[in-house]
Amino acid sequence: MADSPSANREARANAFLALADQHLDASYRLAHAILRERAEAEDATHDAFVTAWRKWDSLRDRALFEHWFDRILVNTCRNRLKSMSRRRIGETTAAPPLTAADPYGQVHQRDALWPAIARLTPDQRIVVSLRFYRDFSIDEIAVRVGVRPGTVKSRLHRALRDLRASLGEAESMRSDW
Amino acid sequence: MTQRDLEQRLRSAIRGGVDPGAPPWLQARIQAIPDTIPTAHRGASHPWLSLASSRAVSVAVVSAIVVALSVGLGLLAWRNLGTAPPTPPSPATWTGPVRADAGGMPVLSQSRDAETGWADGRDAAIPWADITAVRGSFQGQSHWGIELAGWPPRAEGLDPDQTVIEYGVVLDTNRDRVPDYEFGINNDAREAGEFRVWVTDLAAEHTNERVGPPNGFPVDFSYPDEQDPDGQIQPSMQLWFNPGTRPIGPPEEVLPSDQWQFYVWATVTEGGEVVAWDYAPDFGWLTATSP
Repeated sequence: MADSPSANREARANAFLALADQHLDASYRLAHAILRERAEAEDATHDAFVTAWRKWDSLRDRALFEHWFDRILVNTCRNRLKSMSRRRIGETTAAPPLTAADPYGQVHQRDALWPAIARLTPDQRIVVSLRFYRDFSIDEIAVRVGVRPGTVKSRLHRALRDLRASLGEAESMRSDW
Repeated sequence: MTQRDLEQRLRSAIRGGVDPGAPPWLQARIQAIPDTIPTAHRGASHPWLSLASSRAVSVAVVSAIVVALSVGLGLLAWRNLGTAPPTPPSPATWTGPVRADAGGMPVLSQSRDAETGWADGRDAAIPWADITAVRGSFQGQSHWGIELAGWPPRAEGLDPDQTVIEYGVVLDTNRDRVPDYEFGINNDAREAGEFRVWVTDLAAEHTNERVGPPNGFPVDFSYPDEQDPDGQIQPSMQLWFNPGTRPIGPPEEVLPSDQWQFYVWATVTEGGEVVAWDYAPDFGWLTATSP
């Protein structure tokens, strides 16, 4: 019978799974771009989908799934970044793995940038990732992070200032060598 | 280096090394979520009843319900009828997070599989002090989720000298119904938008606190500010202990965390006076295991 509880449950599950399947790869890539570690990105993506399923009934308009889920994913990544940063106090954050296809110059630039990116606060790192991985506008980032556009601008401005300062230090050290 | 150069280098750095897609095993795990995780059904029915009708029903849940009924709470039936549970309401006056009547409160069972946790009635004067559900989970990190009837104003827009919003948990770590630890979060910090987080060992009368960033110690949190701004999800306060920060002690003082008993509170203070508050449960300790 179409309206039976089990049929309703199945319909809900199917709707969720169809959207999850559609958005899984992009969500995982975003988590990987933010967190940089494969295992952390896998866990964050899984946890975000678990949260999304738990909250499934609160999503009133499924056309808004992407925005709604991005917020959950970004919040999950933020919490993981906070935990990661505490675990690594005193450790050097590794640069992302190099790939054979990378021209030498790009690898060199990444090597210089990643320690600087790793020093950003979780909030700064998230807005930087959303801006430069997904090319989101300030307003689009604000919606996903759950803060006002002015706050996004401020975090981005501070992040770029800090990155520039870190890069300046690194490059002046290199020129000293 | 120009701004444009910096932005190009950032794009290259952030896009480099990102996997093209999720691994197949992750896809399989996500496909299994509806079969293994119950969702948060809201409304008149009690979450435990929703769970009992889900595919994830287990003997443990049924046992928890039987135990709850056997101690005379009658909670499930009352909730299913849409009426208040037969526990006394929150006290008429606010006497602080640590309740003087804690020793006489019943221990209420929360199934560790129940995703929605303990439902609490709408009984506070201000929505963001009104706790609608609480759930403790103790698999891995000890974590508490406190769901609220409304979104609190953003902390960065509050003057902490005038308005303080506070959420917290009281723990009984050895199941003797005597509060052992209190921890919580409020916006009573140096700057608007920052938070004060603390853990108090009530026996030792020692408080470990942090005001402002870096966050995460002694208690980590996710404040509603960091969640959904437009109401697509239920506002909630999340608190948890990171590895190495949970209370520890000899077994007679600190049992494994899944045996702890707890209750949570929320308050709004205006001009030094508590104007709205809520406990959840209204009168009782919650436990993730059988009382």
